Amino acid sequence: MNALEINNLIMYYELFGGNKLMAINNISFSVEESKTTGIVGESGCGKSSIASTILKILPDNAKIINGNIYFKYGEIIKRSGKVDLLTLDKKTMQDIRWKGISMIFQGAMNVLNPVYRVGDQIIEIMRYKDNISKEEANEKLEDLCRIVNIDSSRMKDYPHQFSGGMKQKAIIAMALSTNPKLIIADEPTTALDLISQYNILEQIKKIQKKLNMSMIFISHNLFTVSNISDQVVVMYAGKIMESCEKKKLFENSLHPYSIALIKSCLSINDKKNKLYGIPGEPPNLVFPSSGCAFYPRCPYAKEICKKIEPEYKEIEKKHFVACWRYI
Amino acid sequence: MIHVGFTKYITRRILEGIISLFVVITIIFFLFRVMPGDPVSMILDPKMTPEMKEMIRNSYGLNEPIFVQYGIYLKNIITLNMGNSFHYSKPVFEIIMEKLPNTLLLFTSASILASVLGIFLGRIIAWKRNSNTEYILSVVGLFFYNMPLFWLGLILIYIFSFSLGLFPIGGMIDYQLWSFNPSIIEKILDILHHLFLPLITLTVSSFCGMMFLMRTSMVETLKEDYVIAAKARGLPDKVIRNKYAARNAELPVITALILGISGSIGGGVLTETVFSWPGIGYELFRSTMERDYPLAQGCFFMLSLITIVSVIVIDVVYSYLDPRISYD
Amino acid sequence: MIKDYINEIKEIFNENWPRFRSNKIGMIGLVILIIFLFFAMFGPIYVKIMGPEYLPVNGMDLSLEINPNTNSYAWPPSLKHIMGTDAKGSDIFSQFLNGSKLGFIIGISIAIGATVLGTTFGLISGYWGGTLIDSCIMRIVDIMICIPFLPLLIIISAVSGSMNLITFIIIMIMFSWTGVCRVVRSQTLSLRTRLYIDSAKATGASNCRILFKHIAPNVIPLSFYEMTMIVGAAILTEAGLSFLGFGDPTQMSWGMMINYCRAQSHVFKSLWWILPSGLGITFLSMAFYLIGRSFDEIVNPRLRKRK
Repeated sequence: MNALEINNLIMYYELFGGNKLMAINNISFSVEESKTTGIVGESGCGKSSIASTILKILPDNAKIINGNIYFKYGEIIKRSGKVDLLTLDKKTMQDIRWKGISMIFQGAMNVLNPVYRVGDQIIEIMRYKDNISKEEANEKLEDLCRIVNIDSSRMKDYPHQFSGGMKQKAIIAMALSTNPKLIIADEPTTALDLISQYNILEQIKKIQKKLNMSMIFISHNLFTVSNISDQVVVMYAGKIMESCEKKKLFENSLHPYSIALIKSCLSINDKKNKLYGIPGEPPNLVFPSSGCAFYPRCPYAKEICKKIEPEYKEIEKKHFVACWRYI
Repeated sequence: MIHVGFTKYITRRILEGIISLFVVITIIFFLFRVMPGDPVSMILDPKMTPEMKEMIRNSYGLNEPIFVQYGIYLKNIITLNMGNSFHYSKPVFEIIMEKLPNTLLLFTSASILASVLGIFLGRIIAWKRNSNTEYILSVVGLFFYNMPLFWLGLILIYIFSFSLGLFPIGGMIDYQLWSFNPSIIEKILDILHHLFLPLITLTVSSFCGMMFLMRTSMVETLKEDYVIAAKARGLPDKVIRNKYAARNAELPVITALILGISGSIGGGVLTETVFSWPGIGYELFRSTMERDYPLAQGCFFMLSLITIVSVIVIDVVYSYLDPRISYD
Repeated sequence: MIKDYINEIKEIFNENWPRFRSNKIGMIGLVILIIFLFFAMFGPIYVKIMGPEYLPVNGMDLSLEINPNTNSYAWPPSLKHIMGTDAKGSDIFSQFLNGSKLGFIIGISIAIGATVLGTTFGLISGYWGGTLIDSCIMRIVDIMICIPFLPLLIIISAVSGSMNLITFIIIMIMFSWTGVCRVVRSQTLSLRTRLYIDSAKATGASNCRILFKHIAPNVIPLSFYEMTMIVGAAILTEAGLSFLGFGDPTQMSWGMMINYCRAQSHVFKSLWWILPSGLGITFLSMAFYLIGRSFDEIVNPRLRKRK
């Protein structure tokens, strides 16, 4: 059973002067219940836009023109079965946020309100969402501090008194505070040093298992994503190139972009090999070329790749790919 | 919230204020001495007898060299001995203390009203960008923001006092009413009746500046990560607007207030003059017109003091609102 | 050096003019400004056409009779005097035209002077941020902020008899630069740490060159915005001072017109006397404000409306 299902989603940003930046170009994927789907891709490929689209916190110039986002837990807004988030009105969407879907933002971002105490901000959201008393909220805050491993006395501090790692932990605590069904983690470890990265990843994994939550994990780091996910989605230029189970990605990845990505990651660990990069430049999302988006950088490019975009197809169970080589 | 550094910071601010005051009184001293003509005639009342003039000359040290005079002048100011007003034949300090409450009443009530109104409306127009509310408030605000305040005062007097007869033309109390020994409530109502038009004039001409500042600041704050994150959390709009966007947007507005104080004091002088409000600004105008120089100096000194104290007060308020401020 | 700046300004202009043209409030401001510019230039021509009795300060129409309603030579608008006359029979339209000329002279000269002064000090203070020069300049700014300058102007003009226009402009410049200085300083402080400044330093560019070649062009738009804001403030201050009777008596500015009207207690009798000048001040100051605001929206990407 899927906790979240995205079908044929298209979203673009309208730019100054009337141009369109295609951030999400016909994307479909799903998140299984209490499993993790990882999204990997280079910066600017549209991964974070997916997170903002699911929660509907896009800026005014973003336009969603096609697609559905089905969310399984309609009971949160007193409906049965799955609901399409894109059809919900503002008020209902507000109820979905943080009760149904919450988000772990990047700690490097300025996510905490600088003029209120960190603890108060976490208590605030619990009290709005769960209608609990101050005492209950305080107790729960203590629990959360234990889970994410922060000294609970620090909750009386202001955000500027927190270090980067502590901010990230506080943000994770905030995302967990209301027991959401699905968590979107958008580069939750990118701003941290390696040791903290490892600790936080382990914590997130543990918490997820304990609370039985589904998760979307977004990162540009292939290793982090493959470490935590069950299913991996490889994105390029606002499109999904390949999607498969974690094991298959390393054993049997099919798309030339995935292969190149894995190769460039592995070469860091392998001392004998030279560093491997993908030749060419990232694609232009404002004036996309016809055909396959990866075509200009692809070593296997054929004439047809230039002209017609390959279809995104399931070639075996839970393994999707969009490439002319496999059609 | 009060840090150890806070007292130190405020002490520094007060010290700076004292230096400003010192600069101001020095400017006044040299203005009166350097200007062409006999400086003595500017301090001495023409109606005095020669003996009295000589006495005053000695008490100001006017027969001494200029730096001695300066020393005596400083000593006089510190001991609040600012001489006698020619017009009232009373010590300047006494007159100023009499007028100070009237000025403070008008100035503080107008400042508070303008700040509250400006921040409130600025919040609305930033939140409802591109709405009719924004356009109407902006046009009205623009009009009043650029309107000379004394002219607005005159027009208000013309409409509400002269044509409609709703409010008195000027002054602070109705002497006829007060001579009948009215009750305290009647007295307060009478003062409020007189206060209304000057208060409106001063408020209307200063809230627009606040409103535009708040709008700009809030439009920028609305793009901050923490506001977007608050939206993602599904907090009610009202909470996001008030606790997240507006609360943070107020901070730069309060800092900008400091820059505007000198201007508001000028506005206060003009308003008091238009409405003959018996405050320090009006007294400054009248005494300069009547060449009552000791009183003019005293009034100017007091207005500078008000400016400096306001700057310090705003600083203290700011440090209460922004936990990030560090005092060094 | 100066040529570079002219080119810089040209470039900014060429780049932003299309955006400015599509900005509604900016265009409204520009239209109002052009109308007043026309008024300002039309003033002397009007006097030349109509004759010396239309001179703004001394001229008076001797053919007028006393108006029984006002008990003076003040007559409401007529064909001969399209905005009416004042108490001594002087043409108000001519005074109004002269007032717009003075408004431009006062506003623009003070704004340019204060902006040049403020930008220079701000650049110096910001570039050498944290040094003795910086703290000296900032203390001076802090002290200036605490001086109420309208009362100071009143005192100065009272002591010196009366203040002529040049003195007024100089004193205003001395008191208006602080705002620009603060803004430019903080911008310079942040620019100073940018990478391209470091790379310029690494290639051996002198401080002077970095300051004027690399940093100054980036603060010019900010200075320009501040300048438009000073124009309005300067016009309003001059009007206030003249209104109180401390202005230059040889110049018939808008504030002076209101002062004369009030001094001769004509406010209630002849509203036509104070309406044109008050509205003139409002709209001229508004024009500069609108242009500044739209310019800010264009140059400051954070305020730019999407789409």
